[in-house]
Amino acid sequence: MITRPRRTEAAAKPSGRVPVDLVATGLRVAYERDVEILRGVEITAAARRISLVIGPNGAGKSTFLKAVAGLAPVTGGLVTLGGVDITRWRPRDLLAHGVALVPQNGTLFPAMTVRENLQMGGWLRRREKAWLGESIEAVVNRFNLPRHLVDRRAGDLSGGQQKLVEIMRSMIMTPTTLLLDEPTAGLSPKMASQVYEQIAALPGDLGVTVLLVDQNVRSSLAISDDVYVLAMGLNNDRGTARDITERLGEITAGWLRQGVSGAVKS
Amino acid sequence: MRSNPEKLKLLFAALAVVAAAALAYLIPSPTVLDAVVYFFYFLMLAASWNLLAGICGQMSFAHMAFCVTGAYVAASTANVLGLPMAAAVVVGALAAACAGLFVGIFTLRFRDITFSLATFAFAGVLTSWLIGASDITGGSNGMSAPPIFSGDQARAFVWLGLALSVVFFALQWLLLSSRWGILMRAVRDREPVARGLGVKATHLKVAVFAYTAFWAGLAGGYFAAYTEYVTPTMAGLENMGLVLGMVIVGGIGTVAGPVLGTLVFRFIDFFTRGYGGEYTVFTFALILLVTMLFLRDGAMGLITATLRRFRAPQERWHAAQPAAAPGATPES
Ligand SMILES: Nc1ncnc2c1ncn2[C@@H]1O[C@H](COP(=O)(O)OP(=O)(O)OP(=O)(O)O)[C@@H](O)[C@H]1O
Ligand SMILES: [Mg+2]
Repeated sequence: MITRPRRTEAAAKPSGRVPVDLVATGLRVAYERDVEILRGVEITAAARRISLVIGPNGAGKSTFLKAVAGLAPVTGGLVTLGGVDITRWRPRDLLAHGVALVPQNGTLFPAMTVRENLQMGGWLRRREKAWLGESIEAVVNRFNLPRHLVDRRAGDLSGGQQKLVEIMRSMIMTPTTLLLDEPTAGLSPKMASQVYEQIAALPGDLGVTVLLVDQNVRSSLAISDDVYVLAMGLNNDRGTARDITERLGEITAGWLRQGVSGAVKS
Repeated sequence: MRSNPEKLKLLFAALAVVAAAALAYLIPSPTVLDAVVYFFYFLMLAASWNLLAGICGQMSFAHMAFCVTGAYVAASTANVLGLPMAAAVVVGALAAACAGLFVGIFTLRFRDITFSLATFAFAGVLTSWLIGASDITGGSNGMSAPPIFSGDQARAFVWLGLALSVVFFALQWLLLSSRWGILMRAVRDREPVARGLGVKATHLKVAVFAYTAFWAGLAGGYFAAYTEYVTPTMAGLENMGLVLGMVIVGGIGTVAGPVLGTLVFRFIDFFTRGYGGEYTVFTFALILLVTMLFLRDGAMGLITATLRRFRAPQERWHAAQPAAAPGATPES
């Protein structure tokens, strides 16, 4: 195991918050020995753009986001943020450095109020009370969360509201790079479009670089700039959103074939 | 919808505590005084275990081991060093806190059931040692302890128990309304998420473990000074089960739950006392079973639900806002 650099001191200072590219080169991940889930993935999330990663179930999309966020065992390759090597950083250091992850399954604290959840999002800067209050206020306004919901138990909100609060919580620390794993899974189309609307506005309004993983291919293509297709832990295709939209039928047909061969192989 | 029933429940619990003390004041018969002292002893144990397990999510089975640590250290420092028993009780509680710190650090890599098993093992090892090392501990015969008060012991212990309980709940209130309150619930509900947000969860867990061990040790010293005796049976699994049961019957994770649970248990014990201990445990186990089957949030949950029914319509916010009604609430 490679030793993990401790970057707390450098990371504690918000690094000027200039949006920069997040680049993964030759990224390899194995949860167990000799079973590589990612086998050299190359993905660039360009600054102030929305980059979309799509692929069949089990392709390794979530694993890729986890690896970037310091939650999956990286066995090879590099992740850089604006040229700085951030491979295998601890989640808290990444967060302090401006990289935030919103995982696939619900991660709100259900027994806490929405406000308390948002406060937890700013835990690293909890001592700056005034700043934290302002940051929460700004996020609540930005996402148009109805006022009366702020002091409600998070577990009592609807699925879509919960997802929005999760994204809001990740925005408290004003990240420059936001990693989103299937933010609309299980939501009604109406709520999903509300969530997409908020995501689409992040690069323009707040200068956030978004790396989005999504199964809801058509809707997510509509808000994305660059698209990467993953299959079986490898880059399979890439292009602009328009390009991929045109070839979408052909690409998803390929997933079916690969799904079969994958099953035979394993 | 939160604040008012919350306050009512606290009021209820406070009334129960005051009533117990008042009972002892009004009917100072030895049996009543004795029952009230036992009430405060178990209340300190149940309330501190509830803080550890119910609020911070650490299902420890070592609580009685810390209690007995406090009791033995208090008794032996008073006997050997000649310290006044009151000071010895504090020393015992501090020793229990140190033991808590040690066990906490040792078990911090364990989660959930493995954590419980590790604490269980620790309790077992300690009890066996207390019985085995008879030249130090007096073995299964135990050890005598000097009294704290001269004269009317029982009544003084009622007031001491009341004072200690009030201090416990006041400190807990401060703790829960500070950042620590949010933090403990965060670690209980979603520890990995809390870690991801930058929380040093292990520091928190060890600190809470040591703090609650302190209170268990204090309760142990209090009890040792009252009975003027300590035996290894205090650390037995039966007592641990009773404390756990009191918290569950009252409502785990709530502030007032341990008060109610302890009260229920003391009442049963008081009225079945003449028939031998088995009846107490039997009746209480029955109530515990019924609670677990039908009242998942304990007596506190029942009270909350009843209160809510009385003050219903305008409180149900989703009635006024169908679009925002509670949807699927995923629990991991
Ligand atoms: N913690 C883990 N330990 C071992 N194997 C894992 C772990 N997490 C994921 N995997 C495996 O890694 C592979 C990729 O999983 P991953 O969750 O990244 O897929 P995905 O592309 O996000 O799929 P989906 O679209 O279904 O969310 C799967 O075969 C899965 O079984
Ligand atoms: Mg996934």
